[in-house]
Amino acid sequence: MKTIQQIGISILFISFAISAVAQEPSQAPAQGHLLVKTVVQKEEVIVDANGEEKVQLVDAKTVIPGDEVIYTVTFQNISDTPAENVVITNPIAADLEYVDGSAFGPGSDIVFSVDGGTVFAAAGELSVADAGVVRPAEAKDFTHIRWQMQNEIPAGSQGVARFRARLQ
Amino acid sequence: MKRLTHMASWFARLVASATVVLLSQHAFAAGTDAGTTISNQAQVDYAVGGNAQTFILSDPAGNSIPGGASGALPTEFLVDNRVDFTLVESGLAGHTPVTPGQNGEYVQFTLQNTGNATQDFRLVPSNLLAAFGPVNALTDTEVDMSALQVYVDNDANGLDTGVDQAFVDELAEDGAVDIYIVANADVTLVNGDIANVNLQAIVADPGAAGLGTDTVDDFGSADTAGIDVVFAEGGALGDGILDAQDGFIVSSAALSITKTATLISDPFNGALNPKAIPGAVVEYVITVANSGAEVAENIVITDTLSADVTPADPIEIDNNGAASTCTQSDADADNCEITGVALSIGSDAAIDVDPATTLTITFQVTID
Repeated sequence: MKTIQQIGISILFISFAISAVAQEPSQAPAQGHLLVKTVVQKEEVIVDANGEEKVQLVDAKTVIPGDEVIYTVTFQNISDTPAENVVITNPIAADLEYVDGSAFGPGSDIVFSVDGGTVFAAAGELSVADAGVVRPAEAKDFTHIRWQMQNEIPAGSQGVARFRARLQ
Repeated sequence: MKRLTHMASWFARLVASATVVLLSQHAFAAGTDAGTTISNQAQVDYAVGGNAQTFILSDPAGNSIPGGASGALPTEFLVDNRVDFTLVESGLAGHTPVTPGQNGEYVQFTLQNTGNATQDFRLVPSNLLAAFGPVNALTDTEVDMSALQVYVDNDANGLDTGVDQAFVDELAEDGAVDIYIVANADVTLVNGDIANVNLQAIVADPGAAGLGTDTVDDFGSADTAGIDVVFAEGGALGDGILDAQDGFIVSSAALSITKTATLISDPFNGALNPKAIPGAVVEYVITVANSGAEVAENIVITDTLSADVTPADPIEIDNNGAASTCTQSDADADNCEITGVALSIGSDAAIDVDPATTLTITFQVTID
């Protein structure tokens, strides 16, 4: 009886281990070319064993108005051919406000939209009509962010795109 | 469809920004409602071998199936409850005047829910001591109002003690409500007394009719996937409790009474160095000075004379320059009467003494 229980536990453990390891490429269906994942996190200050404060990213579970959250989009080429002209487009939810200058993506050109994703341009080149007066667009006006990868993503490689937004 | 949604949200933003200009004082209130789910889904477009491929949507656990029907889920989080509110004195600026013995006077406060969820609030009124320090620049004189009661103007029609509840029920985001502390001024209070009071508001859970239980702060405990509560009143980490102060100032008449006796004459010396011998005339002057802030009404002065003197008429009354006379020797109703040896003035018609004025009664007696 005891032996069976132990076996049961160890089987369970193994199956967990497999799913953890296999979380990325092999668990996803083989179709498609890129595995795309978005996580939302927030910063939390912790005090480590040496008494030093460290900022770590934790799952965004407690978020109140005024808090900043961090979205991280990862895209991995799970095929055996390069992916070209990779463009990641991310809408900014209506209750969120993009944090100026926070968009980050190695090897990418980052452009923004203020019209719901129709026209994209660099942050300084956009303008909006505010109560009939045209003014330069600000971070709070952005509705979408787009990362345009400068180079192809080789087979097996992964890219990342990240931005911060503040909950209104 | 998605495009339409974006357009709508963009339009909403435009409207919102226009509104902010008009109502800038509310710009930071409330925020996104607690319980709102914030969704995000990235789209990746790409090409292979020069041929554009069908886009792939993101998923919290990863998705590689192209197209909009891939079953990929948006990445979501739930907006938690930021408890935030303000409590300030409102209504009459400064202290509320009361007179000793007056019941049902009130001080007013306003509570505004600047958090992002509907809340109840438990209310606790209390008397303050001088040690608290000044309120409206007035320090408590260590006297208390009695029978403190709280009423909340939930129906926004002013104080209505028959209807108003003693707690704040279901105050929506951005909502504000007036709160009254109603109290009685004991008759023992004197002019110039200051009775400061404190109103404490404790955030409570909304929901069913009636006052909910005190809200519990989830700060420091493990984040949950549900709606957590963070006390953040005034924008800083808080305790879900706010206090505000106001006070009552006792406004009353303050009377001081003096009586002087001056020998006027005697039968032998006349007016020159008279002596208090039988037949001598003595002038009594009674002054009633009101140094308070209110009119002293219905003053009746009763002077019990010695059985060895006989009062003379007329009795002169000077009330702040308004002179009159009356007689005690007859039974008319001219405000001066004598009953036995008790001379009373003011028993027939009201004598009122205004603040900062003096009533002077002058009469003479003869020593028997």
